[in-house]
Amino acid sequence: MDTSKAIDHGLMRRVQQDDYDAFEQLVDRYKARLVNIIYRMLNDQNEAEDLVQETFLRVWTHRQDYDFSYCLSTWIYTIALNLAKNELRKRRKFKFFSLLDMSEKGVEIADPKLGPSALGHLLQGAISRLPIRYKEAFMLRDVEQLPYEEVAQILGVPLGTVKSRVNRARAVLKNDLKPKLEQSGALSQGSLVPVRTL
Amino acid sequence: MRCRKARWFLSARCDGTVSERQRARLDTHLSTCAECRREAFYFSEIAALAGRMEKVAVRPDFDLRLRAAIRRVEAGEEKPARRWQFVHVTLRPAFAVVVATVVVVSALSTYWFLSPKAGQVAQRASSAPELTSVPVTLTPVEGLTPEMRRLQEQYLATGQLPENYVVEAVGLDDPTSKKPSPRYVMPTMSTEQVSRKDSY
Repeated sequence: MDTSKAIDHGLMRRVQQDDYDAFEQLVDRYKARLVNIIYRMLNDQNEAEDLVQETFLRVWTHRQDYDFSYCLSTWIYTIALNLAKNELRKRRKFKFFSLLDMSEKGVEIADPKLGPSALGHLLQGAISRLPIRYKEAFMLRDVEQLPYEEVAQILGVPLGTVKSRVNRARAVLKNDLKPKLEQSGALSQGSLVPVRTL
Repeated sequence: MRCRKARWFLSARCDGTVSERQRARLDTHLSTCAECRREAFYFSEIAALAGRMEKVAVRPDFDLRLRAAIRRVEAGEEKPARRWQFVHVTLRPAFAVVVATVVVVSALSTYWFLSPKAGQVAQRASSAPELTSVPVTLTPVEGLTPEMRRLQEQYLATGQLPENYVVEAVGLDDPTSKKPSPRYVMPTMSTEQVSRKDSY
């Protein structure tokens, strides 16, 4: 068992004995990661914080149901992603008369000088247009840098499916960003890059 | 290795999950194919960008809000209502157009139904003259009045009817045919009705 997992399990045992300090330590360990991942999915920080709060509320309420044979991170990510997916579905339902998705389009209007933050904005805009299943796989793997095995556990799909979704997400993002990046000249020297530096 | 196969491995190459043999073959291909090398560069750039994405800072009052929410739940109070969706919602152009159309259509229809003109039209429809049928057959039909028989014979002989009777359709199989089929009872209506195109 690695250190992180051991710490999580130690804290969770204390949480199960109603130790609120241990719970706060758990919150500190995960809140930033969760807020960021949900923010990338919803493009709304208020909403992301509300959902993360709801996630921790559920962790606290169902603390006795936690199964120690799984990683705590897997459990927490699963709850958070399910809430985010529900929220996205709800948004899709109300899309007809909602401005919520317009904020996503707003992300696309990035600074044409394409500095590192502008590139990040472009990427964020492109991620927000990905289908949910590709988006969550890409976020967990490439942004959160979780191993494929854990992503598969969180999403509840086979390993091969995760790899395929991440691959497709990268391909979609590449196709989406390529024209903008080429237009700016930022990456137009790609073909000149030596193989060993790739 | 061909370009198509090489591109399949580009994503796996970013993760470092290709085998040594595959990686060697891929690198050989990339050293000769500028287009694939370019694609590989985009893949690695996107992966790098994703890793470097700007982090959002969690608001300082997050812990306080969470503690308050937990206290409320433990006290058995209702869960704090999340911000109402419609706080963020304003009309989108498409929805505004639909709402405007519905409002205009309902206003117009209300006006039309309440206006005296609508009453006049309804009254006129109810006072339309009664229909008159002239049976036209090639064989005699039982129970015809002498007047009807005369009209039928006149139509069969001349193809015409008096002024107040108009042929609407003739022929069972082909209503546009001028020749009546046997056993077909031809309905007619007055010229007034036809000219007004009232319902039959």
